[in-house]
Amino acid sequence: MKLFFIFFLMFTYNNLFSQIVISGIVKSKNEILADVNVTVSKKGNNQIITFSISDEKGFFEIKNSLTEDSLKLMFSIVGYKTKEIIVANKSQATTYELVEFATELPTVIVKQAPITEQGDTTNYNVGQFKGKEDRTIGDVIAKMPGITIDPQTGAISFNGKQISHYYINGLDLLGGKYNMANQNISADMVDQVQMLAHDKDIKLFDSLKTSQDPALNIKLKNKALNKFMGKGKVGLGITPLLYDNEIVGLLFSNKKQFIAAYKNNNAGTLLSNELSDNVSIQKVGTPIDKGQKEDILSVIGNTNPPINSKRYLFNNSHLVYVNGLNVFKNGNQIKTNISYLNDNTTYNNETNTTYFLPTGNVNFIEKVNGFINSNKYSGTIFYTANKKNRYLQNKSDLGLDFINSNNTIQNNSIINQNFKDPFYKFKNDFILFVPIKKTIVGINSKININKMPQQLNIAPGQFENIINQSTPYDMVSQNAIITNFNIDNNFSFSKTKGKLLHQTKLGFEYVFKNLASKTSKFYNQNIYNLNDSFKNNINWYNSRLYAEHTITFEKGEKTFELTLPLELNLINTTNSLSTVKKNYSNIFFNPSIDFNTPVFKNTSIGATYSYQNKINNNIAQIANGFILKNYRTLANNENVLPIEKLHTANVSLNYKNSVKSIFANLSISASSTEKNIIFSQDFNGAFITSKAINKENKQQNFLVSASVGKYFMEQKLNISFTVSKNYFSSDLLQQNNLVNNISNSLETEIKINYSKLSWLTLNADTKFAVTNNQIKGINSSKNSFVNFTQFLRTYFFLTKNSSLFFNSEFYSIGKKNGNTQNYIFGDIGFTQKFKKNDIEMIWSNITNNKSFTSISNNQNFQLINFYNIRPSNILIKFNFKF
Amino acid sequence: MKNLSIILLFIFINANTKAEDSLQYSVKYKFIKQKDSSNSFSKFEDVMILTMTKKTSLYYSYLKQFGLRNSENDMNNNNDNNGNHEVKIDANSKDRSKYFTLNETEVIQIDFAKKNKMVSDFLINKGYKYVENLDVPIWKIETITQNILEQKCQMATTSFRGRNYIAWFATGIPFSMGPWLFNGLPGLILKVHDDKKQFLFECMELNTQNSSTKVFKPYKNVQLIDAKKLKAKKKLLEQNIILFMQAEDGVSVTTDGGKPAVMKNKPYNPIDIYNK
Repeated sequence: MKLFFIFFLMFTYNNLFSQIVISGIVKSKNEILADVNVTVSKKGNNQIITFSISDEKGFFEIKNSLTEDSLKLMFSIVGYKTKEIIVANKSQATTYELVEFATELPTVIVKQAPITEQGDTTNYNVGQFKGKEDRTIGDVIAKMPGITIDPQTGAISFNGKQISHYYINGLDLLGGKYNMANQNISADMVDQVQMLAHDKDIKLFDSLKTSQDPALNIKLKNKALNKFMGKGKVGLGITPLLYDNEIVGLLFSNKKQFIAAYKNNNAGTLLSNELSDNVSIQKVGTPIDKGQKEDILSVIGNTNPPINSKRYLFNNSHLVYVNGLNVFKNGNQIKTNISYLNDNTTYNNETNTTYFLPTGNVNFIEKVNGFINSNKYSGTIFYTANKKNRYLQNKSDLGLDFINSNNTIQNNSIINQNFKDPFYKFKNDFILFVPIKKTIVGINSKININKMPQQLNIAPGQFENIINQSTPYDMVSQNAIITNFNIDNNFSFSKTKGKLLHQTKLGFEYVFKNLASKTSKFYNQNIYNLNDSFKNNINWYNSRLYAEHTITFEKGEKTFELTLPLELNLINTTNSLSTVKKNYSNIFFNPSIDFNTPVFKNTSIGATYSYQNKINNNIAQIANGFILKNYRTLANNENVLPIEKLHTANVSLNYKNSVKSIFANLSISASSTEKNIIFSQDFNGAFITSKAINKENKQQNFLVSASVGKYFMEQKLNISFTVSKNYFSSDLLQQNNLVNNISNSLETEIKINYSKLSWLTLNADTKFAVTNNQIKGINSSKNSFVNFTQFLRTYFFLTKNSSLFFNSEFYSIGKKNGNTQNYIFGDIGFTQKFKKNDIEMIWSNITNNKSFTSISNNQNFQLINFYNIRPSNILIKFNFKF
Repeated sequence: MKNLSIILLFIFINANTKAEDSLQYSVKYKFIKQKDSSNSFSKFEDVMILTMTKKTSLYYSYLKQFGLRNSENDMNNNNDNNGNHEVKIDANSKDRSKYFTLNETEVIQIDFAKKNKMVSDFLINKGYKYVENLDVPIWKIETITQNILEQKCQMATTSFRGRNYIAWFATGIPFSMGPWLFNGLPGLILKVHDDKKQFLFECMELNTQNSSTKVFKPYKNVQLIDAKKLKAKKKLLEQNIILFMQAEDGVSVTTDGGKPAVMKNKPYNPIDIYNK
């Protein structure tokens, strides 16, 4: 090594002797030029060998020991023409003259990465994902890797977790009804879609407690701010005469947001979907929403096939809504959401039901045609003061639903059903958090009042043997009214001690419910109220005292939460018809634990466990008197308090690599429920008498799901793969025999979106599912089904402004190793764009399919439904913006 | 190459009216630094802007400036009940991403005519600056070339301020400038990284438009300071904000129990280890 070094020194020393010095002065019009780059390269080659920069006197000097005869000198500086000259490779000193010249400086922008990350926020660049065919931001979000939109409800999930808020420029205009934004905000208006891994909606708790729920923020482009924008659609088509119209107005600024719309159609678009609330969906461990509707009576025959509503829905719908949000100078917000939906639907199906019973199978066919008219009014006022020293929120909800159904069922005879199903509700939710010294004190007060007066009329009268001494009669009419009042108040105290946040909650809840029901019959032109065994007048009083302590630990991404709630339930029920009074008191301890930690780069693991004791407060479950639930089910129950004990556990693994655009998650959940009530079903032909009986029984559920998605930026290719396996086991009581039902299913889905080529966009969605349903016990049975569906949507961009699309939906439904039914639907469309408007022509169902079959298994019965499909039709739509 | 969308813009300068003095050319760099020299996962990404005129250069974090403008706006809009303007920046807050609290505060202005550099900085609430002679790295030109942002670039290496660097300069863009303190090559430096790959500057945009550069505002009320002292302050701030606040403002930070808050030193890996 040393020897080499000496040799090296000798060699360079030798070279120094033969060094050539090229020097000179750089000038322009007698003005000396400093900072000129002077580079030396070989002739015919631009690679720089050595260089110098001229000093303040314009002088430069370059030494070289090259053996070349001549060299290329290049002089460059901004504002002068680059000069290239060939000089002899010998020591020399010359003056070089440059000519003033406007230098062309390049403009190059690296294409923005499609996904970037800033802290716990993942930013999706909308421009990168938007295809020429996309209209609304929802269309684009559906293509973003890691994000999924439920095709039925529109609920958005990020890497397997449902979002808890949908913000527009940081403001929450719509709450859970974010479909109204997702389906109306034009993709052109949005700069970025931001996914916040941890939603922080209460500033006061900002640094104390992190939500594990993600939130989405739509970051609008500046051009979309501070002005009123609108869009509209006028659509007409045949056959029958079809229309599909809408007008939408939008306004977004830092202080005001507004979305209003009127839409109508009879072309099969399900407008109620826009109003679905995707956040208030019940999560495990959270108390039951007492404002929910509890259905008692129902009309048989109206089911929907698992396909796009545009194929089967024979509707005539109108939807109006107005949503406004105003931010006051002090930062407080008020918002109102008002909507009205008028929906008229006709349907025409045939249902083939098979019950697998210990005594043999029961099978019956019902042909149904019917009509539903519904009018739904909803209004919400929301006031929020979200400050760093105070959080106040008051939300008032008012809802009025009027639903009327009429249908005719044809089995062995013809039965007419008429069902009035209104629902009136009022809800108020008040929350206040204020810091007092080092403790955050919270007050939460909820009030729920609702009423559900249902009426079901069936002609001719059913259950003749029970109701009319086996004599045919004209009509049976069932009334059931549920009144519900509930108030829940609690105080909470949150305080950090060391690294832990302690939260104590003390509360009192009072529930009052009443169920009044009676059955009457019309016979020989007289109305008879049936005797007391067909009547109920039940009062249910529930006082719940609860105390809850939560300990939260947080360090970066590591979180741990332990909740220890204790509650005392005092319940008494009275039935004014039987003078039966029952008192119950229960103490429940419902602990839960939740833990999250990053395991290695981009990967985190989460686990939850909870144990819950629940009183199922569905009052109909303790109704002693008979209730005709539908034309073929007569139910009465034992007066036993329905209690459920539920163990739930979940482990999930999340992987997120924004740079490589890979998102993956794996989730394993298991739950076990012990119930004290089981429903016995006794069959007499198609007629069922059902009874809730006090008997311990169990339900078990096991679900594994995994998904992985990757976006290939170069190829503009987005691929996602999902697989899920579900196992469900429950006890059933049939004809007085306890049997076990096991159902399991395996589902896989592959989604591909390819938009690399300027003339083509391709969407493919392929699903494959196997479902097994098994009854163990006497007369065991087993059923297996295979479902295969494939959706293909191809857009051809013919010119800059015109495009053609082909849409195909293929369904294959059948028994394993048995008959399969195949359906294919095809649509063709053409779009011509103008400056701000476009015309769209769609020919739907080109093969003119007229029917569709679906098969489903539900515990001990199987349903095969035959649906009427909308005939081949053509719709021309004119879309405009203003 | 396919991924680059190229817009060519021609800048015409009237030769008679010395308009070249007002010539201004900005470029944007992605800057990735490893905050902990022993942990290659501790990479932090920033976006920097270098604005050049014929004789000067100005270099700063675009995101930081953007964050400062956001916090100024919020301060003006966010009156609390007492009329005080306040923006609380919490380490866990989602505002962190809005204010870019962790991004580079150092601003470097080089005057090539005077051969000096002015470095200004803003530590929490105080501005500092110092002026020093410009040091020019001694570059060794290599024969390797590659294209970066459509520009032919040649490789050069140097040992500068305690680290060994590999740089790529664009022979067609005749500014002898680059990100941070790099200068003195016969073309604009578009990419430079150290041999341990702890620091990387990579150009992502040539000819950045005014809409981006107008985000910059010089720090107000800056106080002159010795370079070494500023470096020491910056080191303390990055390692331990509690000790820094105690040393700077005499503010003592206590826990809920009233005990002095103790914070473990964070790793500190400055790009400049010249004076270490």
